[in-house]
Amino acid sequence: MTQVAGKRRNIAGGYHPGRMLFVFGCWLFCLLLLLWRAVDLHLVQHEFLQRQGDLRNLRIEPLVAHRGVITDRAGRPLAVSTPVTTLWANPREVLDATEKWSLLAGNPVLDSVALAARVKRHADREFVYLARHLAPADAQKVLRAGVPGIYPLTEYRRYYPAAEVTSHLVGFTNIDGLGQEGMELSLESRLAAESGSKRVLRDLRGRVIRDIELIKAARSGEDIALSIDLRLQYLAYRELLGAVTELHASAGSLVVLDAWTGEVLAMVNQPGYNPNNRARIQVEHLRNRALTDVFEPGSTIKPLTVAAALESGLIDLDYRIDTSPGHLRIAGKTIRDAHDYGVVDLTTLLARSSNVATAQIALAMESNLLPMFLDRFGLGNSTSSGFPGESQGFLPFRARWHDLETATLSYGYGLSVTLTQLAAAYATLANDGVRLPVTLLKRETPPSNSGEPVISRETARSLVSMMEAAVADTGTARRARVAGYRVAGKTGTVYKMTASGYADDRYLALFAGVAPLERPRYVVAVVIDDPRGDDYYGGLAAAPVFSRVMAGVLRTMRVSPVVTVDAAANTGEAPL
Amino acid sequence: MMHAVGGRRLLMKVFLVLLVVLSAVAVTVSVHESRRLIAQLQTEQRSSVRLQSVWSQLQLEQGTWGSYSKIEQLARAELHMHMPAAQEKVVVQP
Repeated sequence: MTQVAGKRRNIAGGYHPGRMLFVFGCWLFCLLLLLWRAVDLHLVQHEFLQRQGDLRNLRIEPLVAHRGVITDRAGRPLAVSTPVTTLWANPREVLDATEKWSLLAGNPVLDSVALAARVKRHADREFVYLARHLAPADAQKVLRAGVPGIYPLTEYRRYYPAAEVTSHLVGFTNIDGLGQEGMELSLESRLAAESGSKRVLRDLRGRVIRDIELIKAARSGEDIALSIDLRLQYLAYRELLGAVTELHASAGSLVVLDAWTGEVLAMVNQPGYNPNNRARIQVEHLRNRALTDVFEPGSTIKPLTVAAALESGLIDLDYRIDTSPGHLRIAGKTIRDAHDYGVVDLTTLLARSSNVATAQIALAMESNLLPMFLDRFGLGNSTSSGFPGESQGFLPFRARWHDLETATLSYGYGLSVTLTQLAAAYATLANDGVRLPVTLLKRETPPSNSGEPVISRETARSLVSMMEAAVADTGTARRARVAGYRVAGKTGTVYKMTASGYADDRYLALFAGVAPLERPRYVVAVVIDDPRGDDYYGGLAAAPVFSRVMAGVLRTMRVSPVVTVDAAANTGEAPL
Repeated sequence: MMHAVGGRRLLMKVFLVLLVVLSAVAVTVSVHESRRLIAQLQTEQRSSVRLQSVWSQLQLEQGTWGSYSKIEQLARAELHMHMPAAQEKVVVQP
């Protein structure tokens, strides 16, 4: 008791510096320990810990971007990207859960039998495609069954609702969504989408709680409106297909232009292909022949020859040419007309398509004047369409011209053009002699002052009205008439060039024309390649296609009929 | 005098402590709000992606059902329509 009391007294009264030091020492040690730990965590291990923490909480999330939609001028979709779901499986996980396979028994999209076959064959792998490019709803049917080891993957697929009607112009993309042909290729940089990504912070339950940073902004592709009108495109497609099939022709093209703006309203070719199903595609069917294939334009350039002669002041509108006896001998070759037309004026020259008269005019012209004029009309020059694979065509310029070369050039041999160039030249005539750049993209406003005057307004107008004679009863293109409207145009029948020179039984049938004559605006140019049978002339093979397409164009564009129609003149059922 | 100054200081301290508490609460509230808004943004973004995909599918559907070939086929075959020939047309001048 005394001892205890004594001890207490000691505690209460005495001071033991050793104990105090000991306690302070302990505290200091603890403090240093903590400090060291803090330094260790914050400085030494900081990076490792930060990374580990980020691995648990930071995620990179994708930002979705879409390839631009291609539409026609009224916004009707021609090429649309839509998400599709690809199902893939990890065979090991699937094989571990054999008892759950029955959940997919009789599934309409992916049956349990198919699943078993697929995963067993690739049992050693960790990734196998089950079904690619499914509609998202179909994929859900499989995923909802809940078989472990099956995962979805979102991919994008490009669909072409208008299919064959627009395939040559629009083109298509490959499985990675890159443009391969047509406008999909030439507009690739504007259509292409760049998907982005961002870093986010997530909580324990995986919910995103904060955006940390934008790693790469998503950039969706631009939506682009083409100049074509799907209504006219379909009409042109149907009529061209009908004509090519009926005539057993090997190919054909048709272009509709708006002469006031230079826009292409329709551009179709045969043979075609379905861009949505390219399994058995033939490469030659992919060509947009209206822009890539060149041919000798034949008689269809006679109006341009006459325009050159008129514009250079060589002849005037009342000029007459003696074509007797219906043929002309130049340098050992004979240029022939179908008949002896006698003395003809310019209107008859165009209506009857006289080679002799055209050659005589050309021979009176200075050499190189005609090719220079044709050059200004845009022949032998790429149009400004920017279409991949477009041909430039060919115009001859020579230091010395032989008479025969001049003569044949005047009626369309010895040069080569694309159908679009030919249509653009006629559009120049229709647009009062002012040449506008051709475009495949919609122009919001008609280009002002960008046109290049090629010939005078008076010359252009008189040429268009002269060409009306070609569809008159005595002309070569009676079947180009459009009931209710005044139209004008020019036929062409060209011998096809083959490896062994001009073939004498293979032709190109051509027609190019404008309407309505009160205010010429729409240009339709048609070429039918190698029509079989006896109706191979431009006036018989190509002119009816022009007539049907132009009738539809004028009706669709709400041009009111001006000519009273009698029953006899009616050319038959117009296209819908 | 000294007493009054000390009282004012205490008051000041209490006031500052109150401000600190208030600001702490405000931080909590704003963090909560920001999380809620981000969650909402996420939902909206997801629905935007979903709607975009629905829109593209509807466009395709419309393109298929409304294609001119289909309409023409239906008009001719089922409704027995035809294009009026030129002499069947009457132009009404305004």
